[in-house]
Amino acid sequence: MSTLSQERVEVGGEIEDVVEFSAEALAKGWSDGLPCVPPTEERVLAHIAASGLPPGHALGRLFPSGAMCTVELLAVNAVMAGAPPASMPLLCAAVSAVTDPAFDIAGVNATTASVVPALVVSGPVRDVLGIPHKHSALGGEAGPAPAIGRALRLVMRNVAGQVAGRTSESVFGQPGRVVGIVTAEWTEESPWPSLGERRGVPGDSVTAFGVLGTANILNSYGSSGAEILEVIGKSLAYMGNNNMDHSAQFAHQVVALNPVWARIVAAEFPKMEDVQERLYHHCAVPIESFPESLRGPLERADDIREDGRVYLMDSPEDVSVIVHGGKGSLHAAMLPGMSNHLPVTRSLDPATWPPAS
Amino acid sequence: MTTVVSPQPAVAAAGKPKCSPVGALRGRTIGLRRDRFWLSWDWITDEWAKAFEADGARIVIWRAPVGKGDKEMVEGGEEYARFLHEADVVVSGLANCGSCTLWAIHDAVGALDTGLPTVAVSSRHFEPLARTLAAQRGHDDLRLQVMPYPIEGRPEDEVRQIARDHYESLLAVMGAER
Repeated sequence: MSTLSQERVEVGGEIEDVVEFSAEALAKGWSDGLPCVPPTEERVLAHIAASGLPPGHALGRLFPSGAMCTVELLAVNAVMAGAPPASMPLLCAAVSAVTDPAFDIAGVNATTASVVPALVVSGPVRDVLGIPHKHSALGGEAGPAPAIGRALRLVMRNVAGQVAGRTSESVFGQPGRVVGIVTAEWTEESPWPSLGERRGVPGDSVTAFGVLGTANILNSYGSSGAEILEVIGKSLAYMGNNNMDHSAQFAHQVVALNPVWARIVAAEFPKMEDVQERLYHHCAVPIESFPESLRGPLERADDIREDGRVYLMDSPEDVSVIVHGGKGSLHAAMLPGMSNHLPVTRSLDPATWPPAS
Repeated sequence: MTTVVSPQPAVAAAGKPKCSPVGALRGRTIGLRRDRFWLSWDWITDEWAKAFEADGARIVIWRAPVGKGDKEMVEGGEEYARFLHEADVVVSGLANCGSCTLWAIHDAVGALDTGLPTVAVSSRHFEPLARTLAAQRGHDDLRLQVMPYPIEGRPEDEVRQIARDHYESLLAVMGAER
């Protein structure tokens, strides 16, 4: 007898007819428009088994629907997305992370902004799953990362009820809202401890960041660590960054350093805290650079510091630096953070997770 | 035919009590839910507070916090519970962006679920989202006062005038009597 509790649905066509099923899934509002693998009972059970958790295990409540995401619901969506069964522990941890109140998934899913959860994987599970961390670490390398990211995106569509123009007001969206952003650190090339370790979670972990996209930062000179960090910091503190707005209370930024630059930076700033401090210092804009009409709201929000600048961050801890990417150097990447939202790190060990509420 | 497993959770039946009218204003305590986003909403609720008081009501104001950690979240929840305990009627706004609409409706539904007569306030553009979110939580009959869009960024005098111009409409939506 089946252990599944989800409704069974009769669909037309043969079981392996992905084209026909995909059309029906789109018509039913289950799909993003890409081809979908039919979530047969056998496939769903295999994904659940790979999670190591019972099908009814509650992972967390998702908004705007307010529905509880169970392992079974996640498994159905992971099958449809084409995510491998082996990715289920990572996906379960990711759902637990994004449903932590600090992540504010309600705001993330309903906002006018383009925010999407970006998953940064730390630990040996990176190589078990084949998560990209060298060339094109943020997207473009062939492998399971897009399907894993898409699984989480289908969960947002089907369980959280995030539908563009109906429950999501995102003005532009972004490509990451289809296949997510799933990446890993190149820890062997990093002069600093892994992101997971720095956030107090050693071993296999996933950190979910609410990011507004990825943008490239070019510096073809790259002569010193101080110069590299200045260019990155001043690029990140663009006037339209969400956390520069007077309505924003706090946010968390992500900076990706390529391994070559990481080594140059670490030679001058061996401690990560010093790197964060340097970025914090450069992520600020003089108040007189803002249009006059915006100065009043910034002043009322108490956003102007004693040095006459508006800082992107409350403190240096509000930026995470990860090391990955190709060794062609020349570029960093920034992933500006959603305002009023914090990143959350989860071990892949479910025993360490707080209870779902 | 092929049988597949549904990727969506079963939808629970609404089954919630109807949003009741406010009735007489005199002697009632009107709870105004503010947020940390919209200066225009502070001006609107300033004007409405004066009008409610002129109609014999008392005002309590709660500004929804933006929690950075567990401690702030818990404290925010406790503040909200105290606010609901003190109020006889709740006016929850402002639904004027994606996330703030979600939270304004979330708090309105929280008030409704405790049995308080409640009205949510939305700008015109965000009315469909506000109604969708309320319906998802079993309140497809949510009382919703709709304001012009855009409302933020207009001069203070103009926003205050808009608030005064919409007070009678607000009372009608609330089912309030003088």
